[in-house]
Amino acid sequence: MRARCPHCGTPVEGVADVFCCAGCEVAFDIIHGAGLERYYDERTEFAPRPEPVAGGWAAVPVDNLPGGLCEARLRVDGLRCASCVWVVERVLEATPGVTHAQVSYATGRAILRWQPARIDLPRLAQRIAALGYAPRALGVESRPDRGLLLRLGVAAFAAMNLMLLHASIYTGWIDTMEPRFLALFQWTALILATPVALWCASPFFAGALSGLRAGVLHMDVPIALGVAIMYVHGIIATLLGHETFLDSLGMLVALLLAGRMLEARGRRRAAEAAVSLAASVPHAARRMTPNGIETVPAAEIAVGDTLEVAAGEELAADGVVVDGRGQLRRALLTGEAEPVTIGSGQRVEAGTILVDGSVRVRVAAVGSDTLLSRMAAQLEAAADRGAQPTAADRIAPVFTALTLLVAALAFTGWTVAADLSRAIPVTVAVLVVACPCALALAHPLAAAAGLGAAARRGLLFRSSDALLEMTAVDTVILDKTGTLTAGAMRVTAADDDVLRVAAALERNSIHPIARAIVSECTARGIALPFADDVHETPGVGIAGVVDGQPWSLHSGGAGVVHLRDRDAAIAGEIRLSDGLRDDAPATVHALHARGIDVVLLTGDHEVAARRMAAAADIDVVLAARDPEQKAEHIREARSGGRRVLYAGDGLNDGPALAAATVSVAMAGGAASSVLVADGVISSAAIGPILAGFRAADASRRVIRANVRRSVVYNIGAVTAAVAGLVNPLVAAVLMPISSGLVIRGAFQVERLVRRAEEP
Amino acid sequence: MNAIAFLLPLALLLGGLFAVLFVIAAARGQFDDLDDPPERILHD
Repeated sequence: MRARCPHCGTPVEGVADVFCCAGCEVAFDIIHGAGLERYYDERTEFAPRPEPVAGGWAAVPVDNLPGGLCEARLRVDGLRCASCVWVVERVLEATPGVTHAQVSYATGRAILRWQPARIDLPRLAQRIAALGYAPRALGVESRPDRGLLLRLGVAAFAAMNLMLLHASIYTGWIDTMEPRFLALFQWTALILATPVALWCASPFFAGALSGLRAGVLHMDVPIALGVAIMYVHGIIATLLGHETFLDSLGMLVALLLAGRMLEARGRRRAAEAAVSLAASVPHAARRMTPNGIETVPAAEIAVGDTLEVAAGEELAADGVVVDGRGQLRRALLTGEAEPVTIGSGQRVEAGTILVDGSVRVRVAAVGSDTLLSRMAAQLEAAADRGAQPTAADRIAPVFTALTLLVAALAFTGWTVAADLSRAIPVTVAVLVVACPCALALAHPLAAAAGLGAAARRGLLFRSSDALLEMTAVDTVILDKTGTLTAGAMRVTAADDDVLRVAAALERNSIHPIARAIVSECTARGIALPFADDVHETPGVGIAGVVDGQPWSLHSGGAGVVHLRDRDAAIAGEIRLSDGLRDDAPATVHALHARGIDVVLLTGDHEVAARRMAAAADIDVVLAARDPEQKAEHIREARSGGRRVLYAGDGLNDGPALAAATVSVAMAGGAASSVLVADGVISSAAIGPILAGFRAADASRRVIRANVRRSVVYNIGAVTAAVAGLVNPLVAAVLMPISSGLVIRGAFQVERLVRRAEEP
Repeated sequence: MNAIAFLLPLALLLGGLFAVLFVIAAARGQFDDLDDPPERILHD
C-alpha cells in the first residue's frame, strides 16, 4: 500500500502515513482533540487540504439574537460527504462559547450561534478553515415561504372530503337519498368549502385584484372569477337544496396551489443558489501604521492608507503603487488572462490579484467608489429587465373576454329559448367549466420541470422565461477567460522529476502557482517527497533541500517557473497557463450539431484567442474587444435577427450579459455577474449550456402539448355547457381529467431530456 | 342511515385533527428543509 497523508489522502513518499503539510496535521489534531476519530473511519471521501482563512471576517455582519447570543449564516465550501458535515458540526459544537452549529450538506449552508463574550466569528471561521473547509460570507437571503404550503395542506384536506361527500350525493341521485341526509351532506360540504374559497384561494384573488388595478388581465383573473362563481353558486344552491360545484372548487384550488408551490420552489432554489454562488471570502488587508503592520477588514481601510500586498493576495482597494514590483492579474475587470507587470506609480484596482512579487499601495478609493463597485452597480442597473408575462398570461385577456362573451350569449340564448330558471344554471356551468385550471397549470408545471432538469445538470435559471427563451437561440457567444477556459493557472508542461521536486518545495506555500504545481503532482499520482530547510523569499522564489540536494524555484517570466540546482543552473522548467475546460470541445461540437453558431468574443489579444478557439474547434473569433465593443457586437447581431446566448464570468462582461437574449454567468466569476445573469453554471464546466438547450426544448414541447390539451378541453367543455349538458357531476369528472393530463405532461420533461442526451 | 349523522361529523373531526396537526407542523418549519435530516440521521 502507498503511503498517504492521513488527513487529505495526498500520496507521500516513504512507507508510513505522514502528514503532507502542517495544515493537515493541525486539522488531524483538532479532530482528535474533539474526540471525533470516528470521522476517519466513516468518511467516504478524503478531506480537502486546509488553506489559511482570510482576515476580513471581523467586518461580516452578525445578527444579535434575544438572550445575548449572536447568529451568522455562512456558506462552507469543500463539503464532500456527509461525514464532512458531521465533523464540522461537532468540532464547532465542541468549541467553547458555541451554542448551536448546523451545516446543510445539500446546500452547503451553515447556521452558527454563539456567546459573543466567549468567541467571535473570525475565530469560528478560522476553526472551519483549519479543518480544510472554506467558509464564505453569504449575502441576504429569503426564508422559506410557508404560506403556500399551509394553504395547500388545508385545500387538499377539504378537497378530498368534498369529493367523498359529493360522491355520496351523486350516487344518492341514482338511488334516492333522504332529504335530511342530502341537506346534511350539502351543508357539511359548504362548511368545508368556505376556508378553501376564502383563505386558500386568496392568492388568486389578490393576484387578480392587483392585475386589474394595473390594467392587466392575467391568468389569475379567470381563475378568481371561476372560484367566486362556484362559491357564491354553492351558497345559493345549498340554501335552495340544489346540486353544487363545491367539489370541483376544492379540487381546482388544491391543484392550482400545488402548481404554484412547485413553481415557487424552483424559483427559490435558483435564487438561493445564485446568492450562494456569489458568496465571497471577506476581504482583509495589511495596513502600514507607525507601529508596524496590522491586518484590518477591507471595510476599515481609508483613502490615504498604505497597504502591503504579497503574492497571491487580492487587492482590497483602488490605489497607486508606491513601492515594489509584481505581476498583476486583472481578469475580473478586463477579461485578460495574462498578468501584467506593475511597478511604482502605476494604478491598481480592487479585485485584481497580485500573482507574483510584493508591492505597497497608497489607497485612492475604497468601498463603493472603487472601479469594481462602480462596474458592479452599472451591471445591476443594466440587467434589471423586470418580470415578463408567460404564454398563458398572454392569452389570458382573450380567454377571459371569450368566456364572458360565450356566457353572455348562452344566458341570452337560453332566456329567449326557454326561461330564466334554465338560463342561470347553464350560465353558471359555462363559467365553471371555462375556469382555466389545466391552462393555468400547463405553463408553470412544465417550466418548473425544465428548470429542475437543467439545475440537476449544472445550469441554474432564475426564471422559466429565460430558459424557454433558449429554444430560439441560434448563436452562442462565449467569453474566453474563465468561461471557455478554466480561469485559473494550470501546469501545461513539466517533466515528472522537475514537478516532483518543485511540489516538495511548494507543499506548504499558498501561492496560486504553488497550488497549481502541487495539485498537478497529485493528479499525476506522484508521491510528494519531503523538503527540508525550506525558505520562501516573497517576490523572489523558494529554496530548500530535497533528496539531500539544494534546489530553488524562481519565476522565469510570465507563465514559466525555473527549477535551479545548487549551482543556480536551470535544471528544468514548468510551464503554466490558463487551460481550456475539459468539456469545451465536445460542447462546441454538440452545439454545432444543433445548428447553432459558436463565437469566441474576448478582450484578450488575437494570438491567444485563436489558439484557444482552434483547440475548442470554434471557427469565429473576435479578439481584442473592450466591454462596450462586446455589447455592441451582440446588439448588432440581435438587430440582424439573431437570438444570442452570451456566457461570461467577469465584471467586464456586464454590458454584454445585459445585451444578450439569454445571459449565463459562471460560478466563481464576479459575484455581481452571477447575481444579474439569467442563469448560472454551478459547476466548473461549460457543458451545462448544452443541458440547458435540451431542457428548454423539452419544456417548450411539453408546454405546447399541454396548452393544446387544455384548449381542446376548454372548447369542448364550454360547448357542452352551452348546450346545457354539463351538471356538477360532469364538471367533477372533466376537470381532474384535463388537469391530470397536464400534470402527466410535466413529468415527461425529464424523460425527453434524457432521450436527447443519448448518443 | 342514521349512523351517518353520527359518523360524518366524527370522520371530519378525525380528518380535521390531522389537518390541524399538519398546519402546526408546517408553521413550525418541519417542512422547510427536506434534504438534510435524512443525511444527519446516519451520523447521530
